[in-house]
Amino acid sequence: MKKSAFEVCNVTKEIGGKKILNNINFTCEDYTSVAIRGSNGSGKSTLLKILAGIYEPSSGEVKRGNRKVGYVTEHFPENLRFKVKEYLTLTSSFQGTSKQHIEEELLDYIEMFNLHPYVDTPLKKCSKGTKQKVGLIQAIMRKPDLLLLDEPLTGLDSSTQNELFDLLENLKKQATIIFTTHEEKLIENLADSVFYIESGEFVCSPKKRVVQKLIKVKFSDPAIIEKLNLNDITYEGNTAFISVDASGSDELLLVLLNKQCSIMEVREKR
Amino acid sequence: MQGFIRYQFISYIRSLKIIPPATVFCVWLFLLYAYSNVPILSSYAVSSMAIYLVMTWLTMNVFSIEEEIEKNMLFVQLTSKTRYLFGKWGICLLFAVLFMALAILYPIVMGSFKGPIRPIHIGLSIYSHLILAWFGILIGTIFSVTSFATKKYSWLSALLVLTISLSYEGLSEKITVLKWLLLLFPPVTHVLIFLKDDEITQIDGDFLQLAIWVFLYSVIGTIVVVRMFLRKER
Repeated sequence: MKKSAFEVCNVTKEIGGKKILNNINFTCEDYTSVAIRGSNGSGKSTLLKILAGIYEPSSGEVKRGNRKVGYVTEHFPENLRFKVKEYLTLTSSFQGTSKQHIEEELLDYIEMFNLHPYVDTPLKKCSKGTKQKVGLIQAIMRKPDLLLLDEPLTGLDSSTQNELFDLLENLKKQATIIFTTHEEKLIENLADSVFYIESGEFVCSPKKRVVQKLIKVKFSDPAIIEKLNLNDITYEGNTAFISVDASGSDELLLVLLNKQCSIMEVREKR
Repeated sequence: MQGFIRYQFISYIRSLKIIPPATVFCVWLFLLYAYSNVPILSSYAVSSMAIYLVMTWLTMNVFSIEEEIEKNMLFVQLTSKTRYLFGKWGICLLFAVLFMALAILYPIVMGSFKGPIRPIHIGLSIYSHLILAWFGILIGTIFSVTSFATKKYSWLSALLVLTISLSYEGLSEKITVLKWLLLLFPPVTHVLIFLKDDEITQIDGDFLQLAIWVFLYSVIGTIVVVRMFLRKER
């Protein structure tokens, strides 16, 4: 059974006499990914800052134990006086990691995010997308148990967005990910559950994302597939692409194998 | 912490904000020792006052070098707001020690004093420079990162506190009603009072009494400032 990564109990936050969050309650399991949605000014970023420990709740409590937090802001700071590599090396050194270890690890991330041409570029001169990548790397290099991302797709081109999806998908095995977003694409790709927040309150209960599997199967007789009464199915010659809920995929695979079909591919549907 | 102090040092140096306070301090020092045969302890009292003012200025600079988003990221990267505050103070103390070394050694190297310098002079000068630098750092912090740090009047308010604390003796004599209120201000004159007579040979009970009060004020002041900072950053 998965452990609870943290618990938010009756959290209310007032800033300058204005109630930003009102009586927020939710729990999140380890190694899951949660999307927080809501309109501008609804309190998403404030909630994320409370989870990160930047703000403290006016009332209520956030129980996160000793989990290490990585935080990515929506807008990377504009006036940092460092070069890309220098900044990442310095911020990683806050944890007491050796310089050699940091540099080895940094090389991998620089490669992954195609930052080679910019390693010695002052951050002030970098594009928004490059800064966003640097923001992500600084958070990931902390090896967080809880990764908080505020609108992580801001400023990223589509190829980098795809790289980020893959990276976050991998990170899910090591950390709990919570992100705010307006973009459906990110929710579809990453979120296990979605919370809606409006005017500082959760307006509906968390909605679990239904994970679907796509099964590519080769058949000899179309009647075999038709008899299964499946709803979501497309054909390409004698190959069928079947979409099913992940929970029922094993059972279906067994049926297909018993009916002499060849399973070509099974993957999580995006 | 070492990594954060390095981060802050690079950021502060590259912001070039060090230039005005460092220039003012050096010019002050050069003017102070423009003439030779000056008294030892009175001169050190003046350079202690200079370090008091300059450290307030420098601290306010150090706390203003980053924008809000960078500060938020640092809170998370450092895992604690107190570490952020202590890191900032670390940088301020580093510059305070540099200024202090310059203020104490420059006149000795230049042979500006009228008499021979004795260990008690060095001891008293280190004490006064260090304590006044710390008072400056505390005032700079109060008007940078606590609820007193309103953008419009923070510099003016800091200046007011500096002026009142330096004129404590005169004010408490003339306006006796304010005597108790003035206890809230850094006891600068309690430190400088012993930097008058170069013929001093040993510290006495009066000195120890006032030194204990100064020490207590520093400790309580530091605790209060930390709490005010954490309260502001809730």
